[in-house]
Formats: sequence, structure tokens, C-alpha cells
Amino acid sequence: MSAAAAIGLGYRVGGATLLDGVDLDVADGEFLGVIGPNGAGKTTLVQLLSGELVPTSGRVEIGGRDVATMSLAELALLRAVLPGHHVLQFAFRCLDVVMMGRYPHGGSEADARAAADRVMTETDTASLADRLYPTLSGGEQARVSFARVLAQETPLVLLDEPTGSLDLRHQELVMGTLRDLADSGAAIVAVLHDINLAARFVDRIAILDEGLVRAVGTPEGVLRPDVLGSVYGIDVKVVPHPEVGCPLILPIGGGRVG
Amino acid sequence: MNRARLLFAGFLATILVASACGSDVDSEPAPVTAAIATPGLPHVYTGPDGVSSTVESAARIVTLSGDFSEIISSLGLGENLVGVDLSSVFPADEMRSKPKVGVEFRLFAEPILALDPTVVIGDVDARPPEVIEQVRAAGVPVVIMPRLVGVDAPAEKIRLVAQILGIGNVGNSFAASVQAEVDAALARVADAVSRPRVAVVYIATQDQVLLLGDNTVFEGLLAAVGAEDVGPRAGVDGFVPLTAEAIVAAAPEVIITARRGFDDRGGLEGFLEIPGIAQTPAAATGSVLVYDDSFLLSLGPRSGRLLDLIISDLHPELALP
Amino acid sequence: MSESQVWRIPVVVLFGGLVLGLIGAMGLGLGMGAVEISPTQVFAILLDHLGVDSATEFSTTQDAVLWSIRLPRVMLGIAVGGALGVAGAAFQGIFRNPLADPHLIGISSGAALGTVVSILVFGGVLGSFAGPAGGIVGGLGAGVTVYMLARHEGRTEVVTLVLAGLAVAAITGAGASFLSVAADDARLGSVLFYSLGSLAVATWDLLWVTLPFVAVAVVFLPIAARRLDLLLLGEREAAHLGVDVERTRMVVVGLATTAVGASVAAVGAIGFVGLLVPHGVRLVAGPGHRVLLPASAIGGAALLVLTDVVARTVALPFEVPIGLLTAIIGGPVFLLLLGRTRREHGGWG
Repeated sequence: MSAAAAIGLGYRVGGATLLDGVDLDVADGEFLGVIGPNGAGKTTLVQLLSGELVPTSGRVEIGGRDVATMSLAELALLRAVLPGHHVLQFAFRCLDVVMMGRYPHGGSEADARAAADRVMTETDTASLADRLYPTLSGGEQARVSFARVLAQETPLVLLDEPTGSLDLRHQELVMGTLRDLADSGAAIVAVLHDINLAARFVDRIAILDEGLVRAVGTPEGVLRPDVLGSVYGIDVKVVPHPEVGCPLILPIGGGRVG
Repeated sequence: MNRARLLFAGFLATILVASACGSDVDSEPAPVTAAIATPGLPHVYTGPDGVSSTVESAARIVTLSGDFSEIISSLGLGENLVGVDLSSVFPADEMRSKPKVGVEFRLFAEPILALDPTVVIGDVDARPPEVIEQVRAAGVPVVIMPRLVGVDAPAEKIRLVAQILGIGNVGNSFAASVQAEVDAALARVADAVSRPRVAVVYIATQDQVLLLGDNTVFEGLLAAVGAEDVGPRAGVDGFVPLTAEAIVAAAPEVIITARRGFDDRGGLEGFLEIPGIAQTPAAATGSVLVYDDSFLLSLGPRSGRLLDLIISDLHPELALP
Repeated sequence: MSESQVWRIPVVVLFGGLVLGLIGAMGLGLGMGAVEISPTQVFAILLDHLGVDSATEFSTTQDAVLWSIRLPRVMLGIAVGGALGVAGAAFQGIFRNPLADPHLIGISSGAALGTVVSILVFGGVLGSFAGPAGGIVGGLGAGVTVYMLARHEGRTEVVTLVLAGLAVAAITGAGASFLSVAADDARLGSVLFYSLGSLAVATWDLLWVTLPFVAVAVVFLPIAARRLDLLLLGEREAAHLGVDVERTRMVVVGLATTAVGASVAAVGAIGFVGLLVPHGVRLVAGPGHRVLLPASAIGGAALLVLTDVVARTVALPFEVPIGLLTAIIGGPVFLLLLGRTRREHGGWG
């Protein structure tokens, strides 16, 4: 069944339409990647799906229920959100930060500690546990925040550019972790910039442009030169990945202003 | 010491004071030996603050204002003064040696209580009220005197203070002699023909000119010495800062001021340069009368002499044969 | 251990040390002053009031000074210091800004204005509660104003916050001074003359009208500790984790301002305690509010009682305004923190 769905979802602010009539759903056990050029409305989509923004038209359902009718506490048990940037400036240890992800569950300190230890091992952040969050590099902070999101253990995980500031190895690690999470039954929606990275790990891709969904489907189905060419305004060549067979996008120029 | 014994000691002390005139008050720790007897004690006094205090002993007195220190010293109880405020400067030799408790408008309880007073005397300017409350809570009567003004105020104040300290008779005769001095001085005014416009000013820090008008120790005094008070003309009530323009507008022909602020300005020359004062008729003629601060500003034993001096200074015609 | 790995004092040691410090400060507070009272006499007097006789002799003056002046004063110092400490920590959490001292952000001055207005207007109706009630309302008004002015995209910028606080403090402070001078009302005596704060006005009555407001904050603020931690992650992140951000903010600001408002009404505006104490606690115990809030309350109490001992013994027979002493210690620390914030965030962010 559908873990989360956007139904005729629209968001207007100050006369600008950031998102318009978006219909999209993600099933349990499915990994949905959202791609699109800057300003396409990807972050707005995550904010609407998470319940953080209230849609100006349409609605969002999580687990079949309208998000607008649910409390913050209920939502926190159903979906976790990784925002695009991290603002914590106080000197918490990384372990403390990850343990904060357990807040919605209200369990004991020991439960929180056990869950945090587990996800920090999974995300290769165990070595950062005793370090102070503000002293980490941007990439390290992103990984610790990712661990915090996983510690929330929700059936739906929404991520805004989880790999943005990561090195190659950790990009692979994060995407692999998300893939495993989906395979174990969770629904994942991730905004991604790296199309090739997306193509290798996700089940379906949604291409967003100017607030509209331009295409949804399997990587093979939607990552076509004509679609990408019109959305990104560049010429691309799509070849099968020599190792895993998924589409591999190769820009071949034509970047133009306007 | 337990409560019961304490109460008993207090009871004993009360009886001794009430019955045996002249014997020392048996309070603890050992009191300074009273130089004179205080037969009027205990005395119950209700001040303008509505609080009734019972003064049991005048053996250890703390004053919160210089005028009371002077009066108490004049009444012969100077020995009993165990603490005074910083405005207590007369008699100079006596006051110099007294422990100081601070300034009346910003008091603290412990330095007062450390002197183990049997009575504290201040007036309505004593602040803050919480500290007065603390001292009273410690069982020490704090007498708050009303603000007395006018030509009868010096004698009245002496009478009141004496009564509170249990020497009403001594106070009455002393007050009568002070009143006689005041009356004698004021009687001279009848022969005066001049009626100069006078401003009494006090120079505070930074050239701030404070005009003493109604509601201060000078209320009614200028009229009594045959002068016109410029206060009402300057719209002044109380002890207030004056702008340069207001001084000019008030146009005093004579300015009376206190020594300390005058000296701080470097004497007459500096004083007459103060903006506002420089433009007055008084400045044009150099008519500035300067008196010591405590002499000018505290109504009390020396008020008769002060008024006599002011009258002579204001009305030169009285000196003519 | 690398530089960014941290040494954190064990919680038991922290609280043990703070409580010992507070007890020590109380001992000094009760034992020192213009009137000499020996430690054994202090105990004897306290025991006497508890109905226990002891062999030690003491005079009525000593009894009165200890019981009517020093004890309420020390207790009021504990209440006010605790209020300032816990409120400072709470404001810093809500504003997500380590420099948010209740004094620096204008809340104390607003409370002072509220106190003066309330005493003049409602003094007859509310009696001794007019002060704290006005202080709380005035503090809330100033706090909300500064918050609206300084908030930008879910956080407050250091400089905007301090400048907004300065402006609000200037306006409300001037208002309070003007009313005090214009009204010349004896009931305003303490507020007027203790603009730098002083515990010299402490009486049992004053303690009883102040303590309930402080107690409410000290008891209930720690309940919001977890939510304050999450707020530091960011307002969005906190909401994602199920925290009702607006409600938390209202409750925390309300409680903290209640404590500060009542304190200002009692003893005037005392600055920097709310900055120094939480900062010190964070250095040794980290920013987690479950430790920070109660530790700042105890630490604030100890610091204020100790500073008060200095304030009333260093220049006998005068007292130095306690706010002057806290400013002497706190001012440089504030500048240090300001400079560090500037370096770390590449500008005045």
C-alpha cells in the first residue's frame, strides 16, 4: 500500500507557485528519488510531505491519513526528516545528537543509547560519537544528522539532499543504507542532485521542474535524453552502466543561458 | 541566651528606666554612660510614617541626618551619639570622631545595627523603606521626624528631639532660647526698607544649580527676612534643578548659596561664570552670600544666628545708625 | 583524546560541587557582615529559632541581625540568583544564542518599568504583589518586543539581539527612571535607588512575595529540558521530532520571565549572572538542558550569595551595588564570548 501520497498538491506563496497539482506516491519498501533543476520545488515538496508546510491546495496523506489532521507527536513516529542544512551550534556530543532522534519514542535513556549505537555503526559515525557536533566538517555533520534521522526509526523517511556534502565513499554508504532500509520495508523519499547516484539505488524517480512533476517511473523509464534535455536545458547521452546496467547519464554540452 | 531570659532582661530594663530616674539603663552590651538623665523615657513616638516606636533608652543614639546630630550635641547628649550620617559635620571636632553609617537617602541596615543603637533618629528623607523596616525588625526603634519648615521649625525640632530622648524639660528651655534668638533677629526686619529678590541655590556636581523653594528648609524664611523669594516666579516647588534660562528669568538681585559648592567652583569668580547665574542682576553687582553648608541648610540651634546674619547682609540700611 | 573530543565532568560531581559551593556561600552570607557573629553563634541562633536551646550565648542584636536581615537576605539571594541562572539558560536555549542574558536582552529593564508602573497604579489594590506582577508583565512585554525584532529565519542573530535589547532597555529604563523621579513615591524607594541591584532591601515579606514565582520557574522549566535540547537542533528539526515549537517557546519564555520579573521587582536589575553561570556549566557539563537548567539555578544562587557577601563587606559602612560587581566579572566574559562568536561564525552572525 501507499506509505505516503501527494494528491493534487500545490503550494503558493506571495504570488509565486512553488508547486502545482503534484500527484505522487511512495509505497512501503520503495525508494523514490526526486530530481530536478534548482528551483524546481524539490525542497518545498519535502516540506509539504513532512507536514512542515501546509499546502495551499491538495493534501498529503501518510499511512492513508491526511497529515493536516495529525499531531506533531503522531507524525514524529511515522516519518523522519533530514533537512538540507544543519544549524546546531551548541556543543553537543554527536552521540547526544543521534539520541535526540529517539525523542518521539519516549523510551528510556538506555533504549535511546542502544538505538543510537546501532545506527552510528550502520552509518560509520561510531568514531564521531564523543566529538562535539559544531567542530565537525560539513560532511561529518551531515552523516551524524543522517544517523539521527535513522534513529527515529519511522516507516517513512524524507531526505533533502542526504549526499550533498559527502565524499564518494560516504555517498555510497548513505545510499546503500537507504536501499537496505527500503528493502526492509520502509518508504524512502530523497531529493538527490546526482542523477547517476540516484539511478543506481532508487526504485523510481520523479523529475520535478517549475513546480510540476514532469515524469515518474523507473530510472530506465524516465531518464531519457529528451526528458533530461528539456528539464535541465543541456544535451545528454544515456548509456547503460557498464557494471550494473542501470542508465548512466553523460552530459555532452549545450548548456545555455535562458 | 534563650527567649525567656531575654524578655526578662528587657522587662527589668524597662522598670529601671521608668522608676529609677538617673540610674543607668541596664541594656546590653554595656552602654555608654549617659551624661545627663533622661527622665522622660520610655517615650512613645508616632511619626509621619504612621509607625509608633517606643524609645526605651537614649544611651546609644544613631542619627541619619546632620541637623539631628547638631541638636543632640547641643542638648548635651553628644556623648551618647554612637553613629552619625555623613552630613553630620557640626560640631566638627565631635562629629569627626563618630562612626559613620552612610548617607540618609541610601541606608544599609547592618552598619547601623553594628553600633548597637537604642534609638535611630532620621526624617522623612530616610531611604529605602525596607532598610528602616529591617532595623525595626531587629528591635531598634527608628524615629522618623516630619519635615518641619518655617521660622518656628528650629525650636519645634529641638523640642521634638528632646522629648523623644526623654529630656523634654531640657529641650523646652533650650528651644525657648533658640526661639528667642530667632524672634530677636526677625524683629529687626521691621526697620528694613529694602526688599531684594533672593534666590537660595545649591551647586551640585557638574554646575547643576538647585533652587531651594517651598517644601524645603527655606519655606517661608525668605519672606520672614524681608526678601522676595524668586522661587514662585521660577515656578519652583521643592529642591529642584534649574535651567540656565529659568535662573535668568527669575532675575535674583541676591544669591544665597552654600560654601562647599561655591568653593568647588573656585570662589566668586568661578561661581559667577555658571551659565544662567552669570546673567542675573546678582552677578552684575557681585551680590552673593555664602554660608557653611550645615549652617545654612539645617534648621536648629544656630538658626537664630543664621537669620540675624542673613538679615544684616540683605539689608545694609539696618547697619546705619 | 583529540581537541574536539571533550572532557565532561560527571553529573554527580557537578551537582555535588555546586551544592557544596552554595552551602559555603550561605555560610559566608550568614557569618559575615558589619555585626560580628561567630559561626557557633550562627548555629545557636538558628537552633534557637527552631526551638532548640544551645549553650552558646548571643545578644538580641546578633539574633535580630541574623534572623531578620542576613537570613532573609541570603534566602532572597538564593531565589534571585537561581532565577537569573535558570532563566539565562532558558533564554539562551529559546533564542538559540549563548549571549541571551535576561539583562542584556532588555527583559530586566522592561521588568523595572513594569514594576514602577504597577506599584504606582495598582499598589493600592495588589499590595506587595503589585511589584512582582508588574515586573512579570513588563518583562514579558520587553521580551516579546526584542524577540520579534531580533528573530530572523528561526534564529536570532547575536548583534541584532543585543542591539534590540539595548534599544528596549534604553526606552524602558528611561521610562522607569522618569516615573520614579516624577512620582517621587516612597514605595518606589528601592526600585529607584537600586537600579544596579541590591539585596539590601531583603525582608521576609519580600522573600515570600518573590519566592513563589521563582520556584515555579525552577521547578517547571526542567520539564521542558528535552524540548529545549531539540530546539537547539533547529526549529524545523524540533518540529519534525514532535516538539510543538510555538507552545514550548511560550511556556519557557513565560516561566523564565516570571522568575526574572519577580526578581527585578524585588532587588532591581542584576546583569550577567544569567550569562556567566550557564556558560560555566556548559563548559564543564555540555549544553544538555537536563543538567544545564538545574545546575544553572544552583550555580546562580551560589554566585549571587557570594557576590552579595563581597558587595556588603568590601566598603563598610557602604554597600557596593551587587549589579556593579556582576558587571565587573560578567562584562569581560561577555566581550570574550562575543569575539568568539564572531570568529566562529565568520562575522556578526
